[in-house]
Amino acid sequence: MRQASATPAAFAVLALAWLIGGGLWVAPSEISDAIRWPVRDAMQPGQVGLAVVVDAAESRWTEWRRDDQDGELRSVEKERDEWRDRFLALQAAQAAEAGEGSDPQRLPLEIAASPSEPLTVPDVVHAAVLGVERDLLRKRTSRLLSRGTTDGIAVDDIVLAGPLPLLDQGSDSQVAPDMPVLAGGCVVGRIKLSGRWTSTVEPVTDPEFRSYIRLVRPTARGPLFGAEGLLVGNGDGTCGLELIAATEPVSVGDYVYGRMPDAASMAPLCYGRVVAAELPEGAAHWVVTVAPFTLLDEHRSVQILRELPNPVRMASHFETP
Amino acid sequence: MISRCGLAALIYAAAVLQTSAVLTPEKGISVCWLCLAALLCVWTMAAAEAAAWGGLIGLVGDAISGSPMGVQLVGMSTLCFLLALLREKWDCRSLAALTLIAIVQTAGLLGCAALTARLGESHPVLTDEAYLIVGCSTATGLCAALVVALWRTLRTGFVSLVFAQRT
Repeated sequence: MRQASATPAAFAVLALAWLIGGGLWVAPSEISDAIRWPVRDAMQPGQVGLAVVVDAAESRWTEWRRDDQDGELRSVEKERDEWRDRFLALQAAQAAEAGEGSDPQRLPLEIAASPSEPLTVPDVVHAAVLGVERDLLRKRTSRLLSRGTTDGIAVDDIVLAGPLPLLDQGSDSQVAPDMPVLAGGCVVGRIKLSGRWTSTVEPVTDPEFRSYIRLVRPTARGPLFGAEGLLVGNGDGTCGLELIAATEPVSVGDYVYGRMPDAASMAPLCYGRVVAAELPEGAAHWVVTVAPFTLLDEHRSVQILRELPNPVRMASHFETP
Repeated sequence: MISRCGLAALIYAAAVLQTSAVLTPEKGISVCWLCLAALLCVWTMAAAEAAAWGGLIGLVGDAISGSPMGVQLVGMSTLCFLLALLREKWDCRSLAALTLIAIVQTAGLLGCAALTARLGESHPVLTDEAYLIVGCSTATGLCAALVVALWRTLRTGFVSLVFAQRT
């Protein structure tokens, strides 16, 4: 055991401390404040420095956490892309197998099938885009009508009401509402109203435009048919897709075609391409933006796809006794 | 051993931490940083010097707290004196002894301040403050033990590293 240093000097220091403490205890507040406030003021630089250090540490910690979360997100996205590629490969393989199975040459059919004629055939009529400026069209039309025989024809028969663009073909050319309007092989709209001489066309980007579509994905093994949905005009030169379930694969670059052709149509019609596809957290459907391949405003003439009775079938009907 | 300037800087840092809202909440259990600085004096100095530095730390504590001036000065210098004597007498160097001294020192100082604040009351109730004092004392003791353990580990690692490089 060592000797403790309880020397008289130590007791003197302690006594001095008691003396000072007692003096401060009984001293008036002016004296106490004269000590208290300078000490408190002296703390300020240290507190400022500490706040700076704590703020810097917090921001570093936040950045580090963000980097960590970004890395985790990238990892999950990579894994998702891998699974999507695998799904697409399986889908392509399945489609290839189904195509092989349905090949007519492989069917064990010994009876020779005779060719048949469809009831209707597609036909295209060219139409000029007259524009949307109704006043100009009325002036021009009234000038034309006043030159010749105009009995029975009014300006309103030619210039149909409404804000939509006019085409110079109407019901006299067997143009009817809902017929697709094409330009360069792609859909730019559909007939909304059909007058006797002219008709109005609703562009694909019009907010009221609706059409059932199907996604088609180009792959190395050929096109793959994807999800079906509803094409909706956005009104800003683009379209959106609705009702595509979150479980369906959607990628930027997918083609948007009309729904599969029925017996009368020749082929699915092309609308555009997916330029943005986003799946919000917890959403049941994709939010997809589609850029049309071409717009009605870019053309002065378009084609209207009509459906006419097959003349071969009609002729055989009249020839039959 | 730590120099006097270093100790003064350490006391200043402890006072800053004590008055900072970031590390020391206004209410609830917290570490008494000034008591940690006083513990360093107790642990490394003779009784006379520990009492003198304890008095200075107590004076700073009086100034930055709302208690009457002089209370912490007397309490801290007395505690530092007595604990330094005990430490010298029993030659305490273990981590457990350090933790115990830190707890006793913090509890003594906070208890002294709480009693002094309630001197004028006819029925002083110290139940809540007692819990708080026990919590703060324990937190301070554990913090002291952690700091010393960390310091010893680092020093041992550094010595081992130097030794390995020399051999």
